[in-house]
Amino acid sequence: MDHDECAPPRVAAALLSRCLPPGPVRETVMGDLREIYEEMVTGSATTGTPAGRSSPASVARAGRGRAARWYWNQAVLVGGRYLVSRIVRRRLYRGIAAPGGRPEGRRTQDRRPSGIGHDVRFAFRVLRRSPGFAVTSVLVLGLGIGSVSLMFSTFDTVVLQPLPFRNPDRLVWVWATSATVPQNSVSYLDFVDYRDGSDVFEALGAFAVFSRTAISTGDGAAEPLTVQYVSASLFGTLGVLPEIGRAFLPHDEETGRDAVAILSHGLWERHYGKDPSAIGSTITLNGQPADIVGVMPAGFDFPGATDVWLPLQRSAGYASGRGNNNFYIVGRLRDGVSIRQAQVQMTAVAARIADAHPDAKAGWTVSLVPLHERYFGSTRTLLLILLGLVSLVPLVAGANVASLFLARGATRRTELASRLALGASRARVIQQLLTESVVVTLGGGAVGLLLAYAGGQALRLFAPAVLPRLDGIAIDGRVVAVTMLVSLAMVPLVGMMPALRATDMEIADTLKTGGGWGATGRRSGVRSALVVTQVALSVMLMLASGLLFRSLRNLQRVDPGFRAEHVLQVHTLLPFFKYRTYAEMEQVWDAVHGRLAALPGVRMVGAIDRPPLMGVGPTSDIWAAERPPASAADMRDATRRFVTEDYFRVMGVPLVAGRGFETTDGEGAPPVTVINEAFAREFFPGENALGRTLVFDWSTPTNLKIVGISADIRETGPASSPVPTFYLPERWRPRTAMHLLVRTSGDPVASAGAVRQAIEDVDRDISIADIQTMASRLSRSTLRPRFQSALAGAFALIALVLASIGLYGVLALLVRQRSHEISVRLALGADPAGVVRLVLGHGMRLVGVGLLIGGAGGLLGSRLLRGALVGVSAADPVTYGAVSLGLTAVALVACLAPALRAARLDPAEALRAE
Amino acid sequence: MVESRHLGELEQMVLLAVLRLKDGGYGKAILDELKNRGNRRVSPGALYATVDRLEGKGFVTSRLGDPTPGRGGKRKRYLSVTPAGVTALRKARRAWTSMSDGLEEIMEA
Repeated sequence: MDHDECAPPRVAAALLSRCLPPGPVRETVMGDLREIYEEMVTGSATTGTPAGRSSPASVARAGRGRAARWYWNQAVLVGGRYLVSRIVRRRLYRGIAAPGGRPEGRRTQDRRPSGIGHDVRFAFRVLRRSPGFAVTSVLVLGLGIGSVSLMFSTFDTVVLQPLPFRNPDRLVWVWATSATVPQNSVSYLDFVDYRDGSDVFEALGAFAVFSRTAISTGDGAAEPLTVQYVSASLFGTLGVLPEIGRAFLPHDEETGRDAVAILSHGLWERHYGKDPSAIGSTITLNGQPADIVGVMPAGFDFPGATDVWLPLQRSAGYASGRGNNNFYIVGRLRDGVSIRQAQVQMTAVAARIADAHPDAKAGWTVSLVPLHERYFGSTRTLLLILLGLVSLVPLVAGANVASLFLARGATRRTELASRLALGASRARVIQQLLTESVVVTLGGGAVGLLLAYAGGQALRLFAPAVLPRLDGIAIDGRVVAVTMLVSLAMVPLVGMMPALRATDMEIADTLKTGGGWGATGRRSGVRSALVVTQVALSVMLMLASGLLFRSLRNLQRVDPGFRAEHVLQVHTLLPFFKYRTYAEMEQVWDAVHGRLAALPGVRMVGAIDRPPLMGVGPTSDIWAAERPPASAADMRDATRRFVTEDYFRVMGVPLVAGRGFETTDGEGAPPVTVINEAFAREFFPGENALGRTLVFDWSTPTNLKIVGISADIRETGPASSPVPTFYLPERWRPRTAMHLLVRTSGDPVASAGAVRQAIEDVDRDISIADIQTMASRLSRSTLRPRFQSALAGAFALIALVLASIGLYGVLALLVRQRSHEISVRLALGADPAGVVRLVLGHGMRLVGVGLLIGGAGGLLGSRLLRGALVGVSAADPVTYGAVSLGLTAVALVACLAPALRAARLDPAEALRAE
Repeated sequence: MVESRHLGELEQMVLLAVLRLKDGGYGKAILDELKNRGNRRVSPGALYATVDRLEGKGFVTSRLGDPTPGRGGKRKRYLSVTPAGVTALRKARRAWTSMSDGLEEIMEA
């Protein structure tokens, strides 16, 4: 490994170098850290975190990321320590040095006579004298900065961290695409042609689109396991090898060989107590034994929630035929090959396949996307929206604190004027004031980190269903660095303008009048501008969160087409090695249904092979008998579901025509189907579908008579539209896995125990994979929009509160500054109501301008939200109206207190104070 | 401020590590020694703080080595224990032994 490759993160190294005192300390410390870093990267680390027991390749890869993180942390810790000790040292030396004399310190090569150390010490002293101001500023800034830190650390953890594979940026996902279907899986034969017909990939792996639930028997209770069929090449493509044992070999894909299996780390831990002798033993899946040849490392879970990987069988039904699009493809690009080059070559390969197999592949090509984008693309959009919104919060906080600084600058005018008069240069005083704002913003940064940490823990508790990988969320060197950057970026906003204003004065005038009263119109103009800024930014945030909230309400109001309340959903699997014939299966299902229906509190029982809200699920090619497709390109498919007679009644899905299924629609009866309205619209536009005949591809073309039409449901969640679906009677071809749907009269959760017991009473070998309520499923389908609108709402609330405080502050100051004038007016008989109107009017003018600017900004900005909005336009007048009203109401409250105080001013007292 | 002549536990460990490493005691080697032999994972920042403190008490001195390949060509800061450091260690050890005298049953279990 050459040295450049070993160099630690450049930014961290530069940061560290700046913090260390120049000379031998800097050199030796930098050297030590670099040496440790190099060792961690080359994988033989003896310091730092242990590499664990994964394969060497993944160690090297993971080692680099871990080493970089480690280096960042050390840079911050070590650098911070030396920086602080340098500052402290300077303070000490300065303290004992003669005025104007140079300290004799060996280490402090202080080139500035008016050093930062002095200013920092002075800033602390000044801030200690006005704790209210200091605490408020630090908290307000902390709130603003912390929101950004939190969103950044979330974004960093969830989106920016590389996938846990070797060189994950070289991995691509291969979609099959056509004019109508943008993303599709491919057949095993396509996979072989991709692999053999291209040379852009170092390796190409495939895995089945379906995972099977298999029941492992032998030791103890039957347990359903998720089994995934993969190509022998998949693990090598991802660059992750088994922790113990071997990976699959190409000949494992041949049927007739001894069956082999690789276990997940979790299963190995759960069932074998991490005993290495599991390798070589046998696992029985659905009654079929397989030799365990390997165990994957902890943390490896691809394509997700897998317990056992089996090698795909080349001769199996799911791997034969061009039209059996049962596989997803992941490829590792060869070194030096860009995804664009690979796309060009793969397009050519796909064209050759389409030419050779026009019946199945006409019109199909491929598109390559980075694997990371495939998995985190949608999450990235969600988080980018939130990150964009949150970036407005520190601006509001900054504007808020800036006006605090301005107000304080006004009260300190006498002090500042004295210092200027005694010969301090304006630059020197500005430096001092800026140092104060640096201290305050860095304090705000520290508070922000605390808030971000707390927020991160909260997200871990509440958001894992929305965001993947949240377990890794932490405040690491990168988050600290970003927080510090944001804090320092606030300095000009918070400190610069107030510092310039505060020092821009006629010294003599200020000293004469005693300061404070001599506020010029210009300065109050700046403060007003700051308030307008806060109001405008708050309006933008409120608009965004309002629009997201309206979308959420729209989603929640959508009728899914079925009644989810009081339905328990029980994923049930028959031990199919026990029930082999359709008759046997029908019998045992009938027994289960009978038991459940007899339970107290149970009103009806139905079943479906794939319930709503579980994704699209299986589809079949299908056509009207009198209109067979002219070519493969004209072939259409529809969602296929197997249901029991009572399914429609249990789910509350009305039949709009014809009949539902009956017990007579069994194995020997002529096949019948019920279609939904979307199906009727798509396949029989403007015709009566009832009684017509469909042909669908059920290994052989099979005729189906349409006996009923059901209402549409929203299969994949409230945001989706109904898809053409045809239902088949479960009695016709009984299934081994069904979702039993139990409609109860009371709380369905209360019946769960009895339901489980009743099923076990029929046969202990029937396994229950999952029990949950339909209602919780339905509410989970809106988790992401709820999360989005809740966070956006929180940001808007913070902004609104800050803006109101800012508004209050400005008006309070205005009243104080003009109390003399107001008192005189009152003394001369002015109406107190008029005074209230005067102050309110001033405040509301600011609010009005802020509303206009914020509204315009919101109109521009909310275009970016468009993708996240459902049933509401980006310029939704209701949202705009509600936000304007809400903001005005809050602003009125904020203005009222100062206005009333003005009206109650005692003229005598105000004049006496003069 | 009067610096304490008393040795903290980490200070003792660092002094021992420097002694064990003879002429080879520099930052990373000490960290490795602490980890491998002392079973202590110490962060570089904590080590530097300890070393600075020991240097302030006059228990260690340091010299710069020659530039070496690797580590970005940066020189190493080698430490050695002063006689005062050795004395302090002996004192600490004596204190420990006499405090634990008679507690063998507990301490050596």
